[in-house]
Amino acid sequence: MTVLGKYTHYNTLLHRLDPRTKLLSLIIMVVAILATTKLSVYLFLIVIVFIALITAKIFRNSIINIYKSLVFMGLMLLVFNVVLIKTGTVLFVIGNISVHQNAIMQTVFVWMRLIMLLSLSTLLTATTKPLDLSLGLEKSMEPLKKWHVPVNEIALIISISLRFIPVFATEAQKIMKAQTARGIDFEKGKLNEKMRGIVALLVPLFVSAFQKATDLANAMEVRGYSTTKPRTKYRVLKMNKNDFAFLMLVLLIFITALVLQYAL
Amino acid sequence: MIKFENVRFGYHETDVINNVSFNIPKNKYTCIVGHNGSGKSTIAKLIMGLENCRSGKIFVDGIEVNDSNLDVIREKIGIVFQNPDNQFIATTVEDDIAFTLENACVPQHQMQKIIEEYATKVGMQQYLKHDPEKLSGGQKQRVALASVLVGSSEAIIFDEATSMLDPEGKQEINQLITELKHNRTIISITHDMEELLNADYVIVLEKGVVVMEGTPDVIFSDIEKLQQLRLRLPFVLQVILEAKLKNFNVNNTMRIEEVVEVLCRSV
Repeated sequence: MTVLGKYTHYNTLLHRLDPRTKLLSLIIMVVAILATTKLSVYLFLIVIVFIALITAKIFRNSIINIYKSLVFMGLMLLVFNVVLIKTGTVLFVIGNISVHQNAIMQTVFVWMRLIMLLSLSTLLTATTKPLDLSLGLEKSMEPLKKWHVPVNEIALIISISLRFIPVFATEAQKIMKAQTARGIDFEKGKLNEKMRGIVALLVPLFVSAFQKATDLANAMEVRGYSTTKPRTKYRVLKMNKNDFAFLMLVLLIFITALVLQYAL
Repeated sequence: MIKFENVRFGYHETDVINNVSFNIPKNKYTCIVGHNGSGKSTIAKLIMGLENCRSGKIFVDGIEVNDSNLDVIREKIGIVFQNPDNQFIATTVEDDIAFTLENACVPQHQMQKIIEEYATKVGMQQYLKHDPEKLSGGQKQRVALASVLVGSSEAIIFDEATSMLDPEGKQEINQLITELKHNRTIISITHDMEELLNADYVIVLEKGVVVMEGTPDVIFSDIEKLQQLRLRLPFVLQVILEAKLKNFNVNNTMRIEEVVEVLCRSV
């Protein structure tokens, strides 16, 4: 189950870019996608997105599964649109339901948007290490400090959460095994029996989570961590000319999309 | 180095630590032993200022531990906790060691060198980029030790740091402790009686009270009291005890070689 693409290591241009470059590019591209409505612009943008996916070498693996999950949603959308949208020329009639051109177009547009948005966010998470991503977020949110947003603490919380995801996954498996040994069946049974199983899993998991949190807080405190003190940073992000070139390219795509939409 | 003066502490109404006074000598290897619930881990928390005592005073190098000088205390003393998984903060070894340096405001350009130096000290220099999930318990504790060493130079507390490790990991950490004990105060909170043989000073706790205190020689000369406290004797002493019952003429010693020699000669 990889909804948001898991980081996979390749040495491509997109993998090497500064996380801030990728975050900013993502925002620019999302704006471009949401600000345009013409088919020509969408065809242009979707080609760009696919080129990006191919250069980052993530086209084959995870992305296909993500598209599959969109098929059902697209079909639902089509049904709703056919029933509700009654503008544009009538394309054909099934029984007593007339199918209008705009209904089809609207569905295609939404579907293309979804594909592009999902592809781009997958692109970001699949080419950026979680740690770099939280570092990039921290740096990009730096200006918010003026309004007393605890940017560094948020970033630390994110990176600690990421660090503990596999720990809790292992812990949950351990607890499940222990509870299975005590006679709880997690797979079969009626709904209420399953619910009881989940409680038997969650309660020990929460207890262990609190224990871990206390221990970790103690460990952090004795190693001199304090939210009120200034800290230095081990990891520094550096943008190089590749990043600037990439940003220029993204801006160029953005302008092209707007020109296609409004000037032509 | 560390001095407790009539310290009382408890989490609820009853006292976990009951009017305790002792003195941990500087640059020595001190063991604090006791059963579960004897309050030995609480002692560590009190020293580090993670808990405040109800009454009495705790001094570290002559400085009284209170909320205003915790920074100074934590620069002097570091602690390695029991569970290797719950003290690893970052997602790689180097970032975890860097966390302590970041807190101490060490300039960024110096960090790399310091990290490598301390990783080498604990033999983890090849694992700098590794994820903690891929390390063994012993390796995790070694990283924890390096992370503590970079920040606190004078004293290290090991709060049952080897109790969750396999024999190999235990060996690794004990080896490191022996290397570190020159010019450093080591405090080991443990229930492993074998460890006491290497100690310079021993404090025995029972139900929040210090019941025995002194060099290992002094402690092990009162075997009756140790048995009364239901503390398992180290293997050497068990052998001596059995030998005495069989009318062998062995003196109390902590060196297994001496016992073997005496026994061999007698037979």
